[in-house]
Amino acid sequence: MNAPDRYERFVVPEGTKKVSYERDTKIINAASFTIEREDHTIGNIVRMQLHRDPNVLFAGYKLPHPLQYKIITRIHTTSQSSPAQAYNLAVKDLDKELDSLKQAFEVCITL
Amino acid sequence: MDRPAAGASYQRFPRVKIRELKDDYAKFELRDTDASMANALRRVMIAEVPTVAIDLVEIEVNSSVLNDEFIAHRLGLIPLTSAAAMQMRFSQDCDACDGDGSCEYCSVEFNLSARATDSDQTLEVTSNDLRSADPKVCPVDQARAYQQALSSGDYDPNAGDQRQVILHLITRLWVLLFSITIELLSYCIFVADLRGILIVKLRRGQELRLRAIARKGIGKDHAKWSPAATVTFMYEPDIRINEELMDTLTLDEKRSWVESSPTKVFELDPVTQQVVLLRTPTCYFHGS
Repeated sequence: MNAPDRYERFVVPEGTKKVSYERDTKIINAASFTIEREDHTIGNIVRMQLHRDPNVLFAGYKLPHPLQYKIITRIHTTSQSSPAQAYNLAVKDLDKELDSLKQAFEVCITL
Repeated sequence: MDRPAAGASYQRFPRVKIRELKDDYAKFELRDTDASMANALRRVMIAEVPTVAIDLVEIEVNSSVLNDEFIAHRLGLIPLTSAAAMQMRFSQDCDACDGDGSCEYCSVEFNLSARATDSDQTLEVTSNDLRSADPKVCPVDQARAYQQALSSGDYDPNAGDQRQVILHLITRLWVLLFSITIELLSYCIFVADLRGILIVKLRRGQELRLRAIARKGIGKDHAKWSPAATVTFMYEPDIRINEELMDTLTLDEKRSWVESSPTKVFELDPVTQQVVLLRTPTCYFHGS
């Protein structure tokens, strides 16, 4: 009765931003990113990539509720970097890694 | 966006090695990355690879024993050949059709018309009775039967089996091996039985006439759009033999120890009379 429609899991409604950013008021160099209509597929992979950055002190993600289709990623960094910078770097590196994975597959399949 | 320092990229370079690749089964190893990547691949294969499935059914006549929505549900679950899915648009994104979500860019129309003639035999309405407007998109067993007819007898017995993709991950930091098994949709077609997927059975005088529209979708929306039957991954085990203990066994005991494993993991080297790991990688758990 209260369950949302299935297409809500991946269709971003009009007016909602896909990614939003909130700085933490009490801790410096800490912020949360809210990604709408995504789940563990993206959340876990971005979190693991953030862990590989030595400037990142804390990186974690959660789904606040299984029926609310969004993830909140929280990042704390050292003063040498900023959460937005670390996040951008993580996403860009993942992009390149997935591109190289795709190429590796294509090479394998054509062989 | 300025980078923090030159060369501060934490990118990894994953490597893939395919062990087996059939029409509906693949097994491959994935190295130099970690479990989150393998799991993401698994989740995407199950839920986010687009396919085509029947989504809208208009029933004209149904006098069968199953009710309309029951038949519509069954029609939705029939697997359709979805090679054209990448070129199609999602019907919610399609701007070419006049609002009803069924134009040539985003949908494929099917027709089914079956009437049990006045005989005592039960008429089985199967997926072979579904007539597609686009020959590229049709029920999978129809495509299989067509291919078989073309090749006229050159039937590959392996093509109908379930396929498994095993993805092995080896991380840079740890020597532990991970493997991923992915079983793609199995067609379950027996060689002698190409009647198609049963939809409903009709008795004398019963009729079923409908028009169905197939659309592109993803598994997240409904499981009928999921292309994968099973996708699994596992770490490849790292097996080390305790040489000291092994030396305390006699040759016969070593031989019986090697033979006791249900799949061939070890072999007894005749020259040195040592038990060694079989060099060619096989699946350690079910020998496939």
